[in-house]
Amino acid sequence: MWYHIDPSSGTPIYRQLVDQVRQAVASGVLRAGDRLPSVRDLAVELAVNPNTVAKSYQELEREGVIETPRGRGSFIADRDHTVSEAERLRQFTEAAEKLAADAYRLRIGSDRAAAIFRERVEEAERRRSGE
Amino acid sequence: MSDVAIRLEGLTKRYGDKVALSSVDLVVPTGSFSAVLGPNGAGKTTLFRCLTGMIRPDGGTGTVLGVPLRPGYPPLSLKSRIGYVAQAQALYERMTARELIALCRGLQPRWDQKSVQRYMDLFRLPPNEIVRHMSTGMKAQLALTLVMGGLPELLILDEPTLGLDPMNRHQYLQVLLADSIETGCTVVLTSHDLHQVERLADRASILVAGRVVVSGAVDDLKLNEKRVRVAGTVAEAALLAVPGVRRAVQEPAGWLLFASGDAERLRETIRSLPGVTGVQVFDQSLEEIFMSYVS
Repeated sequence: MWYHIDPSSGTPIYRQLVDQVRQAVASGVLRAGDRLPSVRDLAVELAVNPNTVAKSYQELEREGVIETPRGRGSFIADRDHTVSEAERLRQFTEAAEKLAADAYRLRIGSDRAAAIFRERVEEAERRRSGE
Repeated sequence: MSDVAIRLEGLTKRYGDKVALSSVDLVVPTGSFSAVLGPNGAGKTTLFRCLTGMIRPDGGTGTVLGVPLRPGYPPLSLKSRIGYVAQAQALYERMTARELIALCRGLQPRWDQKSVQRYMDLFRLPPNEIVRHMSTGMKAQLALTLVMGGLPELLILDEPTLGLDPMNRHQYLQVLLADSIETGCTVVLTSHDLHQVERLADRASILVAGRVVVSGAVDDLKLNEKRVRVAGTVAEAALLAVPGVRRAVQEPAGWLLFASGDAERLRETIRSLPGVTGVQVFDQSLEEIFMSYVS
């Protein structure tokens, strides 16, 4: 998978990596069991500090997106299994807050926003079940 | 091995009346990739020259790879452990790459010919070309090759990628990263390419007029250094009285602030000032942080 690093954005690079892996999992580009490159390999490929890559992997593991069975590398986790409901809700609420701020800024009313959102969720579910 | 490669306390250097370094404190952890940033004339090169022993500081103390900075620094045994690539690298212009390699090999107690050959191949450097006929980029690649041959424990790079095109720059940095991870070598570099630094460095210190104005882990700097847009009618003095606010710039609809501290606390404190109608706190890239301290 190809990662895009934007050093001119205010978002820390480890965050950018975390977000991209999450998105890749959400869109099905990365699937359960897929192996991520080692910290060293990804750091060298992207010319990014290895501590930054390590930090993003730690964060992904904390969020339950990846698993790192000792010494065997990092793998995309089976959804649902590893993450508690409270953690999943926390992550989703965080994402919803950002979206709500955008809706307000762009003057999209709550009904309209909810309709657009429902459409997207249904589309994602269709794509998943069609796998 | 100590966990600190470089520790400086109160390092000072004067040239006549001009203060080049003013009480510089610096800690570089072993194995880190540390950037020293600053506008031209801020003292970066002077600092590097003190570290390599090319010039003697007028005051302050410190250690480099465990060796104290004092008269007689650096002992011969330390010299070979430090690799220094200067900004205008003085390579012997009339020699070929092959001859230069032989020369450096003779001067170094440790030498890794294999890695030198690997670098030559990777950079596609012509061994029989004389240096004078090489491009600026090739000279930069050759300088790194020569320095890495000596298996340095501390690598000091002054604007190392100047003159390299984007492809070659990326490759240069990849090689540098791979080998410093491999060998555990500590890297201290300076560069005006702050996007490059933001990718590579885990620590950064900003030097302005010979003083360190801010220093720390890059992620911590980004967590702490904020730009704040304030809407409303509020006095500059009230804004500058908020803890962490360094500078206020008037804008058509309010103020733009440069501030250090927790984003939430800044937002709440500023929001509670009389006359403030809105507050937005923004993250900053390393380049924006740099600009906020330098301009």
